[in-house]
Amino acid sequence: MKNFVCFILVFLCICANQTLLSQKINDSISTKILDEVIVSATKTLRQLSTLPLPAKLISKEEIIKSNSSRLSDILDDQIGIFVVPDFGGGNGIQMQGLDSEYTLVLIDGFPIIGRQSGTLDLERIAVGNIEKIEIIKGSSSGLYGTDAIGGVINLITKKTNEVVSFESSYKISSFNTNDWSINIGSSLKKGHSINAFFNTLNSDGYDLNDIEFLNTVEPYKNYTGFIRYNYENENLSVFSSYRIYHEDQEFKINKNIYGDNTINESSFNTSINYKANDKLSLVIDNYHTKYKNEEALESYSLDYDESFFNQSLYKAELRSIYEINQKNKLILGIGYSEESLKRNNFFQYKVSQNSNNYFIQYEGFILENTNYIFGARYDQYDEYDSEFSPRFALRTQLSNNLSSKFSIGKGFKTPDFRQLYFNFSNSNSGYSVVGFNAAKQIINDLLSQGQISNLIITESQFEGQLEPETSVSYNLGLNFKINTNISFDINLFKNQIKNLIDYKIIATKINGQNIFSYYNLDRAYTQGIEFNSTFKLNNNLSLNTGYQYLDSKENDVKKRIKSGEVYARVNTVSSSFKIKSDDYFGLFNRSKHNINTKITFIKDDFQIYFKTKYRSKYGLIDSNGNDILDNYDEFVKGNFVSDISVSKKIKSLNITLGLDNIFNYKDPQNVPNNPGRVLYSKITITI
Amino acid sequence: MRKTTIYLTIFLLIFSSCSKEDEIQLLDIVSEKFENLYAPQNGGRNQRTGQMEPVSGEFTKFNFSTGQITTSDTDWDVAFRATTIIVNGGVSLETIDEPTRTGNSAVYIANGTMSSVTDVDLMSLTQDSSNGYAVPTGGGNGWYTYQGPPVNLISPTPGKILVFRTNDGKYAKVEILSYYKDAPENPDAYTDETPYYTFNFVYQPNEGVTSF
Repeated sequence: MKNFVCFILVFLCICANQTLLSQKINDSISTKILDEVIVSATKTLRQLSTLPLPAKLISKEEIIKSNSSRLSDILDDQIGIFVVPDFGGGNGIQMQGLDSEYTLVLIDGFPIIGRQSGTLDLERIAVGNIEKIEIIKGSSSGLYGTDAIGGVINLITKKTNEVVSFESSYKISSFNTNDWSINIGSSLKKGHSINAFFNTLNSDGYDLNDIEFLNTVEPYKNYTGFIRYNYENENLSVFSSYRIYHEDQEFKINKNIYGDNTINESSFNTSINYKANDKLSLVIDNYHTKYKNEEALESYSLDYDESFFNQSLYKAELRSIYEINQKNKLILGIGYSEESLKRNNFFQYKVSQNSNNYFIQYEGFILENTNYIFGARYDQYDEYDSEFSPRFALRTQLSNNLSSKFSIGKGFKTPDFRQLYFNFSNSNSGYSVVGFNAAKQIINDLLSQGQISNLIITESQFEGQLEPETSVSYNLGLNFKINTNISFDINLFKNQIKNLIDYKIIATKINGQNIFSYYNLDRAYTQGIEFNSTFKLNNNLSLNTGYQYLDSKENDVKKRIKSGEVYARVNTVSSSFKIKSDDYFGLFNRSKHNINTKITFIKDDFQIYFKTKYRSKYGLIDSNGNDILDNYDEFVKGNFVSDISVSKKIKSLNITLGLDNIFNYKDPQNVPNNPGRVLYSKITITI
Repeated sequence: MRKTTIYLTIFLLIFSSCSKEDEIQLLDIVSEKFENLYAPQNGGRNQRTGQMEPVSGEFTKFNFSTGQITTSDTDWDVAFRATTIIVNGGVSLETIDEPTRTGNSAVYIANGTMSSVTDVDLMSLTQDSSNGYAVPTGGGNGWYTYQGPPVNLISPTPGKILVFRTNDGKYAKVEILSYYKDAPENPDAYTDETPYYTFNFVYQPNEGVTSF
């Protein structure tokens, strides 16, 4: 019951802004763009147009237009963002070439947990109650602490201003997939308002392989429930929300063994924002979330296996926001977080991590046309050295149409519990994976039992600690706004990561199988260029197109190739040869080129929306056994995936018919999250 | 500089042709490919019960001087059983069916290509010992890399050349090319049969010559 108190100016402002937006709904789009605001970049309400950080908003209209029902669908439409399947299960994002575990995903500013193997499965998150999605690219640890190396994605939930609002939608798609959502909101007198959302999704799943029992995606059903309450008066605002998620999946491994997998998630937050006077506000946040995954395997005979993953996170934060004047703003914050995990295959029954943090942020102007943000955060841990993460961003309005942005920031990610405490043995092939903190004792035990045939790493290498991964990210952007109908954005980015955590063999057991553990690898980088353009050709037709070039490599591999230590083969029948620097393709699962195009045609109540995404070739496996991805490995071919939908509005009804993956691109082995062509129909009623 | 190189080349040519005439008794180096050396094992993980069972089965022995498989108890240089490679030198780990060592064979793994490994580094040669085999077992440790799911392939690690001292004190180098029957270009762990070794080897038949 400690979750009584809490939060925000932010939400008060959002609400104010929503009123603004709804009043201006009939104005031209350009006016609306000017008024776009963002909270995730600074933890205060902030005008997007003058923000010095690379940021993007996905509006409610865009979510509706794309007919997305899960977060994975809508994010996959964005340039430079890929939704990639993780082989441990789950579809996570890759942003600026960084894996899912390096991007923080928030709902109303609070992190979603349950990253079982590092990846946050975005299929879990329904978007039916999302007002907009804010994406901040580049290290944001200066404000958010751990995990924000690649950036932050924040989902802002809907809050009604009407006395009563009602919206319900039903979508039916291939594979007997049914998705039903309902949104009810009520804004009562005296500043109280309440919003409720319910979603249910069930599907028969699909099967892309020939194995008799196991399907690529097993049939599943899930529910999302969300309720938020707001209260506002002149100097006090209260925001509280409660979210639950339940998923159930049953499957058969073979004739005799069947399994049941369930996920239960709940989160509760309270935020109180007290406006002491015109200049000073105080915000208190309180957040508690739990994620529980259980899988049971049962057989008609005796075998029985059970696994569980039970995570919880508690966070509290106090911020004071001081508006020195219209242009200068100072924020000071202090926070506490407590995370714990119980999991099978762990060295200890329960593991936990507590931290304190302190942050500061200053926003101001240097000249009339140049503004900046400086921020820094200090995170204190028991298990690791403290992390100091500064961030600086600068924006200059060069002319009426042209502006530039530059930002630099330090990011970090503490090792996850798996990397520290794992104690896992694969029951099929017998290899083991042990966490860094557990390795020493596990190896000692095995040595005394005579189970080790070859010790590759000496014990002393596990004396120290696994260091947090850190990064420095740079972003340099230009924005040209030729007129209200045409605009271009270019952003150059680079993320240099140090102490990247990887795993390697530490010992061999007498059965010939290896024991792996985690260690800090040298360094890696991702860098590239992102280009976005918007053309509004006339009142009916608009075109949005983007391109990303990505180069991502491990510095150590580059060095080894240069010194002639890396060999490859063209195929298994040919002899090996030394490879050249040009032969190194880069990190796995990264495409060099990505093109996105979206075309919208609107006439009266009729709309056609077409989008296509190109992903150039990428490698998932090292097929020639040298541990790196080189030009002689097997690649997944470059591919286009195109979707089309047609919608018609009839009074309060909106009816849509759509076809995803029109050309039926499929690659079952490499892209298991793509079932091929999907036909759907959606009906939405809004009152 | 270029002139020097030319002179040097000419000199070397003359010298090498001279030496050929001088040491006419030297035998020719053997360079061959051996295909589908079948080296099965029994035991390991039981697919039905999931239990680990002791590994057993005769090792498939190979003799470099004949370039053939042999069943001799003494006259062999190297032997294979699934992914395990042993030499006829040192001590047995005494797994079931493991042969006793009778000779003086030894091995080390050199980094390079068949053409770049031209001299034997005598100091690196090791024999099987109670601490483990001279060719370390396990994917990523010795001669092969194991790619986990979903492909589950065993690929010979590129740039790993196995350099042997034979049973009778001569030298050979080996590059393993495939672990799958008939060395398919793109093996499939689910359909291609194992363990069938295909390898290139170069054998130096001359006593005491440590180069290839």
